[in-house]
Amino acid sequence: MNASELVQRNTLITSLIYCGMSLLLFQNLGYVFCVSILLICIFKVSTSVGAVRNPSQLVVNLLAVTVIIVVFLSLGFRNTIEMFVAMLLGACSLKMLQVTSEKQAQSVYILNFFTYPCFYLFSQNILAFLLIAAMLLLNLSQLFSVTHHVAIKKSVHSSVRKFVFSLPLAIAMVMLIPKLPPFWQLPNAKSASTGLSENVDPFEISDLSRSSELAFRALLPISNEFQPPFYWRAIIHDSFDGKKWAMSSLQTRPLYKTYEPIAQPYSVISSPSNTRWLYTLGEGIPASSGISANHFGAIYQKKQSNKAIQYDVSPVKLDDARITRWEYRQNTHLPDGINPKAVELAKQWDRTTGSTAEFLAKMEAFFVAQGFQYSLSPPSINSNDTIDEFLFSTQVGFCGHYASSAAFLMRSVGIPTRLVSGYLGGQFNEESSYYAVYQYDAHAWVEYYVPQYGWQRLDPTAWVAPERMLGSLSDLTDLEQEFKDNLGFSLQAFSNIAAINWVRLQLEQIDFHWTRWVLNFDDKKQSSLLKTLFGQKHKLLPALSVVLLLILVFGCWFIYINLRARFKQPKEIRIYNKLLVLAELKSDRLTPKQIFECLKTKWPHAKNELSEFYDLFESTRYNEVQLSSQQYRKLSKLNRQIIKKAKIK
Amino acid sequence: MNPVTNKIIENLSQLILGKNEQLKLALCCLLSKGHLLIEDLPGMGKTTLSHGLANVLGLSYQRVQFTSDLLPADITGSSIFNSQTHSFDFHPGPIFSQILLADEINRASPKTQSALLEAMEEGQVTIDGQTHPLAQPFFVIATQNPLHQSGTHPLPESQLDRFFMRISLGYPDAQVEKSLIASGNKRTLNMNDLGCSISDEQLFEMQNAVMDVKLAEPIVQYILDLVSYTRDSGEFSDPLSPRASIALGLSARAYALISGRDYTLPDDVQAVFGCVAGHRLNIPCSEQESAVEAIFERVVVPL
Repeated sequence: MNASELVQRNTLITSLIYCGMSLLLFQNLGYVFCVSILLICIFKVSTSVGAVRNPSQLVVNLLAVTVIIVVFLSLGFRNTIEMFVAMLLGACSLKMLQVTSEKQAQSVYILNFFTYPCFYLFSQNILAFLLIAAMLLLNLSQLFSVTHHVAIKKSVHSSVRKFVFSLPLAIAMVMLIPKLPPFWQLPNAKSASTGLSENVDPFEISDLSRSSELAFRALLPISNEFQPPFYWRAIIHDSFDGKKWAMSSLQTRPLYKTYEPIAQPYSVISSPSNTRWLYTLGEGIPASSGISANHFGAIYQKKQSNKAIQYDVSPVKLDDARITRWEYRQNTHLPDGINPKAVELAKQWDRTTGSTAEFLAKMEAFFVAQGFQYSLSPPSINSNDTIDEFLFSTQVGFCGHYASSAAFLMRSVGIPTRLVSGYLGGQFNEESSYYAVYQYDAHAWVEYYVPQYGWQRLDPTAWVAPERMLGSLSDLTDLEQEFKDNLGFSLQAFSNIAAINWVRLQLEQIDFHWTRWVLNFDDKKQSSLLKTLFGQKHKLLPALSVVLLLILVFGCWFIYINLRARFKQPKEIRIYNKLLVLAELKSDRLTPKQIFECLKTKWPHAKNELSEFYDLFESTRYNEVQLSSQQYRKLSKLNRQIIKKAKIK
Repeated sequence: MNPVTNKIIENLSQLILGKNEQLKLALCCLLSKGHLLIEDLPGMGKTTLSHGLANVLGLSYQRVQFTSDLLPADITGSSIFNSQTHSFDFHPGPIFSQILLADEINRASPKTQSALLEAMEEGQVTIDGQTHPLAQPFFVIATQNPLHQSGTHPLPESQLDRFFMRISLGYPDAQVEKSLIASGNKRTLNMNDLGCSISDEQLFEMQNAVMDVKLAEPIVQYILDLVSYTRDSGEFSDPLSPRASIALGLSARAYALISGRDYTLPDDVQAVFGCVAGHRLNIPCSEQESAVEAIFERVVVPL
């Protein structure tokens, strides 16, 4: 295969890879862009089968302008990262159309070591990792193939071998070399995952139930404090504008008091999400850096990142028996003149009851008696008085509807109430003993204030669908069919087939360990690992071992190179070199004869030995005669004699 | 020292005093079946050397004094109409001898120069569509004046490349010159006394023996390194050609043979390098020594 054919074949493969990569990222990069990359790829395929001529410079430039326009129109400046990645992919794909020479291909392959890992900006799970690693490996072998004119099969073989050899060193370096914080950071790519939102319109939340994406995993200590139902608090909505529940400015107030934990801390590994708010079981304070708690006991990242993060939380009981006037006003505020029927109903209950508990009982009785139904796909309500409509006409809904309605009813009679969104439940993984919480576990409930007692949790959904409280949504047999319809095509939907469920659980397991040990391998994890490896001296030893390892590796390499050259050398050259070293004469620009002339003038008293040595050397080296062992001994002896005589002087 | 070549050089050194190294190189060129170019100022003994070489080797030789009006036919010969037989008879020129002494080759016009050089390369002459083979062995020993002298046509690079070696005699030592002055012009006298010191068969054997001299791997590497240095360093506008590499190997062998060895040394390569490479690299004779030294200082001698 000649060089240009090799380049053609390699660029075709790379073009297909770009196309595949854009298709995998279509949610981030947009359909229009993906289609244009697909078209470029088709163009490339047709040029390589000879259906179309290679494009001229003008055509490629026009295509480039088109791609730029497409990127600007479909992505724009708002999504800097997406735009950047799209530009890179577009430029590389177009370059692949144009590449004819080895040099051009080489530069693109070198750039690919940057282009491919850009995929990690959008996804960091183990499948993405394996895919990109395989692509990088292929890229390495393509680079090798193009520059050294080797068939791809052969170059893949050699690069896999090199990769395997360098893997232990890479792992050792990741584990041992001290981790530094990043010098610079890219703005976060917008994560495509769904998640909780800071502003909740309960009549929108049905989207959540359709996603089987992982929200987070939790490692709970085995203790009586942690018993289901697990209400994972995330966002507290204390402001209501008639439609949406939002967060008031009170949210930014930090937790001033210090609290003693009431139970063992637990850790949570969260998946990338759109918000900075994290998940706690009840109220909690963070035990990890970079995370703060507000005075509601909700925790959040100081700087939002789109990476999976792991954090520890200590559960606490907040001292909130008293609230300020501002809080009271904030939590009882309702816009005027909406949902008149609901307000009327609440006032009617209020007149006939004497305590919050009695009021709640009335409300529960109402929901139970009216025959409300729990459904994941309720009819949509298009009215200004959504809660009236829901309470008195449709009566079908899910957590958001019930929580929102209950909170509205309570606020309208002056009970401070707020809406909480988070997750309910979690699937227990027995092998690794963690709870996995998925996006479809998203839930909304209510917290209300009772003087002297503080804030209490109330889940109105439990009145309508008590089984929802017992476990994850996926465990609900009643809703099974509806739930699976909502999930669409995902492994979760086939969980009643044993084999698929097993595969799913195994994948989950791997992903759990991947996220926990690889993605979240930070300086803390490293230092604890080093502690277990090296004991108390873990501060000094890792650095030392890294240095030693590097010295060892390079030392071995140098020794190998040196020995290889030395073993190749005939004996007479070894002795000759030894003599030169001892004579402190270092000139490789002189012929041996000239060197010996120099030596003779330097040590005139060793003249005879030098002549003898040279004659023997010359007649073996340049006559291409193997040095006999007798001659070898003679040479060594002469060498010793010369050095001895030289030293006497 | 090889006894046969030693005798030749001894004989020649009676004619050219104190220039043993140049004599060795000239002999080395002829043993390698190469053509020799002797460049020097007038009166340095170029012609004497060429005559002496031809004499000593016992080969038939003819001398042509090149002038600007010399025509190609003056060298190769021409067909002349014979009125008795009514046909053209070929009258061979001076090129039909074993040694052609081309005196002051750069005084002739390029046309004549190329006629000669073509014959040198091909070993045959074609006149009026008839090909006439040249004698075996056939050597050209050309002399030329330094290029800055007036009335010279420099040989083009491609034709210079056909000369195996270029040697230059240089001024004699004061001691030698003293004896030259004292003895007067003994040239004609000595030339006849010189006599032949080698038979045709012996010359033929010697030429074959050159190829039996061992050229060890490090020597080949050294030649290769020297040649690549001229190509890669960028110091030379006309780097050495593969023909030059072959010539270096061959002349190093011949030099070793003359020195009485059956294997070559890096020193042999260094000894012949200047003569073989100098004219191919366009180095003037006067700067040849220093230029060659500079190259040796930069190229590692492989062991």
